[in-house]
Amino acid sequence: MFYNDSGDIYRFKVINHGDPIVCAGVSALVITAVNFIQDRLKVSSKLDYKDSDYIDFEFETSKEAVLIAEHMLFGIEQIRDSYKNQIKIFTKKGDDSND
Amino acid sequence: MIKMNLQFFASKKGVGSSRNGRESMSKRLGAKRADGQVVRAGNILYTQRGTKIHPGNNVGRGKDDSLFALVDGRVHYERMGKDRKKVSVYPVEA
Repeated sequence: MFYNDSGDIYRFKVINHGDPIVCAGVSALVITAVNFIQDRLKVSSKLDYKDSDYIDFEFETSKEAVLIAEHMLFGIEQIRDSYKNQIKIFTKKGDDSND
Repeated sequence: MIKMNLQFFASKKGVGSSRNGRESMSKRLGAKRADGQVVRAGNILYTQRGTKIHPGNNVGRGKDDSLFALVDGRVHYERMGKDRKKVSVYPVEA
């Protein structure tokens, strides 16, 4: 999860997979967030993904878009807490996004 | 936009579960005493489902279609009609 200087999520990158059930949960949360931000909020965004591998999504930090991203992260954290060591969440502060 | 795919991050695509994979214990049916063998009353001669082999002289049929000797004697598997078989027990002269 990438945060800008004002502490808003502006990008997230989801990689790899594990247990099929956890995959399904994470897939649903992430794909819904990406599609909602792109299709409904109409903010500028940059999407890069490769099936079965990763989703890398950067977007203009409107209030609603940041909320959607936080909502997605909240769901992923819930899954992580219920399915120990299946999910790791890394955060990166600041705009230098050379991950 | 990304097409919603719950298996997006799954390594094995389309792996469903099968409803097979069950099997009952083998019941070891068949002959328990051979032709010419001496048996005692009550000995099981043949276990089966239905009557592959029919009960002959001095042979009874159990609730589960098993055939058993009614008397002490020697086992004989014999033909019965054109294409059927039966098993009998004939007492052995002392």
